Amino acid sequence: MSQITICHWLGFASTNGQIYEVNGMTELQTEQLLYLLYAKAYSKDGTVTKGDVKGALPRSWEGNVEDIYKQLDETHLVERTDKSGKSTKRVGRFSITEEGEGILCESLARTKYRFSHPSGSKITNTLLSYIQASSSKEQANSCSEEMKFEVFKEKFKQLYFEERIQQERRGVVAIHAKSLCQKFIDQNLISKENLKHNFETLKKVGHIVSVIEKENELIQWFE
Amino acid sequence: MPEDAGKKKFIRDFLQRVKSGEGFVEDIWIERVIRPETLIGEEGSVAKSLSGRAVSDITSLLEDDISHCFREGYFTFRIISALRGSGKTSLITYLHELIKTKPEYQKFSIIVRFPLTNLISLGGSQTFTIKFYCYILSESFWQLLNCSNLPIKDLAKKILHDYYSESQPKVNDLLSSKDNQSFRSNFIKLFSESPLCFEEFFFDLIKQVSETEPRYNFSFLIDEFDGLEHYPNQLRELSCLMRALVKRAVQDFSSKIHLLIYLAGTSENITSFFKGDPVLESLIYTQVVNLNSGYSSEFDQIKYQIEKRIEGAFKGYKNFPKAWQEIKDIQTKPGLSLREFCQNYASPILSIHEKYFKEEVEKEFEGNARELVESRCRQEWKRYLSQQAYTLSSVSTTTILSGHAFDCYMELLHNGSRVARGFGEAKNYELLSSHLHTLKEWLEDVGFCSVNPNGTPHDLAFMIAPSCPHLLSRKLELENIIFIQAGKIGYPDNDSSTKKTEVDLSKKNVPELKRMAKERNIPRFSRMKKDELVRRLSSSSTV
Repeated sequence: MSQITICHWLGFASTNGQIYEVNGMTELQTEQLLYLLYAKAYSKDGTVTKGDVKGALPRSWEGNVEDIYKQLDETHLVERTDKSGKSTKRVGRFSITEEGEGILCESLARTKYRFSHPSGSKITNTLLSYIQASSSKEQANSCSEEMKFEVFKEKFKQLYFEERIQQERRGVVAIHAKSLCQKFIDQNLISKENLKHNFETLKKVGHIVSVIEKENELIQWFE
Repeated sequence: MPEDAGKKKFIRDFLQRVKSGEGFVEDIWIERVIRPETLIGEEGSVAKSLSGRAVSDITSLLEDDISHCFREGYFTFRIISALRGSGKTSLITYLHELIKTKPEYQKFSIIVRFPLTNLISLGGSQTFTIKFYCYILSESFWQLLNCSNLPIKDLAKKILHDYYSESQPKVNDLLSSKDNQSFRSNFIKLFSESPLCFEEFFFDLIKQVSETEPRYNFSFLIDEFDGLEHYPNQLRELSCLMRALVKRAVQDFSSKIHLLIYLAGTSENITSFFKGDPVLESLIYTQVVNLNSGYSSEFDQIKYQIEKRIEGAFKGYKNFPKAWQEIKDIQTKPGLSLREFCQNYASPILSIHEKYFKEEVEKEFEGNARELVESRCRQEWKRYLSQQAYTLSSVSTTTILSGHAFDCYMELLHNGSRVARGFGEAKNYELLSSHLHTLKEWLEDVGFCSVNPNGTPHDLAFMIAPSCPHLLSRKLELENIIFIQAGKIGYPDNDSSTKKTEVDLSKKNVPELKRMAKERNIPRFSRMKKDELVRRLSSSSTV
C-alpha cells in the first residue's frame, strides 16, 4: 500500500459517477483531476481563488467549472480558506486538502489523459514537482529501514535550530510543527508515517514542548 | 495565647502560590539565562541589550533596560514573546518590582501595569485608540497628582486645566475624584469627547514633566496582548497607534525620551501582529525578547528552592524521612512549560505536606537568634550605648506584643526607661515574601518607628534566616528591616558561607555545575542530579 491513504474516509461510490472507487481507491474524473492540477499550479502560499483557476483552464471548459468545484468541495478534496490558509465560510478562495493532494498525486500517476492544448510553465513545473516527489517517496519506501529515532532526533533538532535562528533574525520566534515537519519531509527521505511516529516520540520523551495556539501547534525544543 | 504564635502555615501558603503557576511567584524567582542569539546546544532565552552592554540573565537585561531609560533617558520599547506559560507576566511583574524597589527610580516613576483586556471591558463607545490613551493618561495623571513632589503635582493640575480650558469647575471636579477608578471614569467623561490629538497630549505630558523634573520616567507595562485575539479591529488600531507612538518617540524626540513600554503576548499572536504591520515589525524587531518555555535546569532550581524550605521547616519530625523520600520520588512529565512544571510539581508536594505535616508547626530557627539580635542591636545603637545613661534590657524570646508573638524582643533604656525597641523574627529556611508581609503588619500594630528625625534612637527590626532572595532583601531594606543571614547552631563556623555558596551554586545551570565539578575532580559528577552537584560543590569549596 502506498503512503497515500486517501479514500477510506470517502467510503462511497458516487451514484452519478462523479467520484467513484476502484479497488478501494478513489478515482477522479479527468476534469476533476485537471481542476485540482490547475488549482495546485496556480496556488500562492497554498491557496487559490476559483476565479484564478477558471481563468487558467482551457476556455472550452467554462460551462461546468462551477459544478466540478462543487463536487470537489462536497467530497472535501478542497476546502474554503482565507489567504493565510485558515478555514472560512466565505466562498471564493480555497485550498486543496491533504486528501485532495493525495488523490491528485495518485490520479496523475495513473491517468490516461494527454494534453492537447498548450499548458503553461506553471502546469509543467507542478507536474515536475509531482514526478520528483513520487520518485523521492519511492526511494524512501524502498529504503527497507526507516529512519531510526536517534538519527531523526538529531536531524530534527538541527532543522529546528536552523529555523529558530532564522526566525530570531526577523524578530519573533514561533515555530509551527506543521511547517517544520513539511520542511523535514522535503529535505529527507522519510515517509509521512515514520515522520509522524518519530515526531510523536520526540514529544513523548519530552524533547518537544508543544502548545496549541489559535489552532496551530507551536513547538519548542527541550533538553 | 495569640492567634499567630508561630503557628502560621507559611509553607502551605507558599505551596499554594507555586501550584497556581500564575503570574509572578516571587519566592521561586529564578535567574534565567539570556543570550543575544540562539546557540545550538546552549540554553537560554534570547534578547539583545538596547544599550549595547552585555547582559547575561533576566535581571541584568531588565536592569540594563531600566538604566537605558531611567538614567540615560532613551526611549525603551520591548516586545515579550513566548509560548503561554513561559513567564511573560512574571517577567513584566518582576520589572515592575525592580523599579519599585530602587528608591532613586521609584521616587520619580510613573508605572502603569495593566492587561490589555482592561481596555476591552472599559465602558463607553470611544474607539480603542481613545480608550487606550485615556487609560494611560488618566493613570499617569492620577499618579502625578498623588506624588510627593509639589512642583510636579502643580504641573499636572496646570496641564489638565490647559487641555480643558473651557471649564475650570469641571477640571476641579475631576481633581476632587476620590480614588483612581473614579478619577479614570471622570477623566474619560471629560476628555474623550474633546477634539484632541491624544498622542500629542500624551507626549506633551511627558515632555512637560521632564522639563520640570528630568529624572521623571513613564513606564507602561502592558500584558495580555492575547486578550485582543478575538478583536481584529482593536488589534489593527493597536498596531497603528503603536507604530505612530514608536515613530514619534524616535523621530520627534530622537529617542531621547523617558518612556519605557513593554508589551507581552504569545508568540503566535505577536507573529500575526507583525505580519499585519510590517512597518512596525521593521521598527522594533531587534527589541523582541523571545522567552524560552523553560529548561530542566530551570526546573531544578525551582525544585531546589521548594525542597530547601520544606527541609528547613520540617526536618527533624518523625515523618520527615518518609515525606522527603516521597518528594524525591516525584516524577514530572517531560515537555512542560514553566507554568505546567510549577503546577505539576507543587501539587504532589502539597499533598505530601498535608499528609505528613498538616498538624506540625514549622520548625523554629535552629540558631541562636537572641544572641544575633543582641549583638546587632549593640552595633546599631552603639553611639547611645557608649553613653552611660543608656543600657540594654535583656533579650526575651517569644514576646507577645499587640497580640503578636515576636521571636525576640529587646529594649534600649535611658535611665531605666524605654526609648527604643528591637524586634526579631527568625526563620529556619530561606525567607518568603509572606514573612515580610506578616512582619510588616505586626510592626505596624506595635507602632514600629524606624526613623527618628531628632537624632534620638529609633526602633530596630530584624529578620534572621539561612538566606534571603535578592528582591526580598531589597524590600526588607526599604522597610528598614535588617536581614541577618545565619545558619544553625552546632554547624561549623563556615556554615553560613556554605549556605551562601549553596545558594549561589543553585543559581547556576547544570552544564556549568558539571564543568565546575570536572575542574574539581569530583568523582562520578556526570551522573549526578543538580541537587547533589550543588551539595558536593559547596562542600568541596569550603573544605
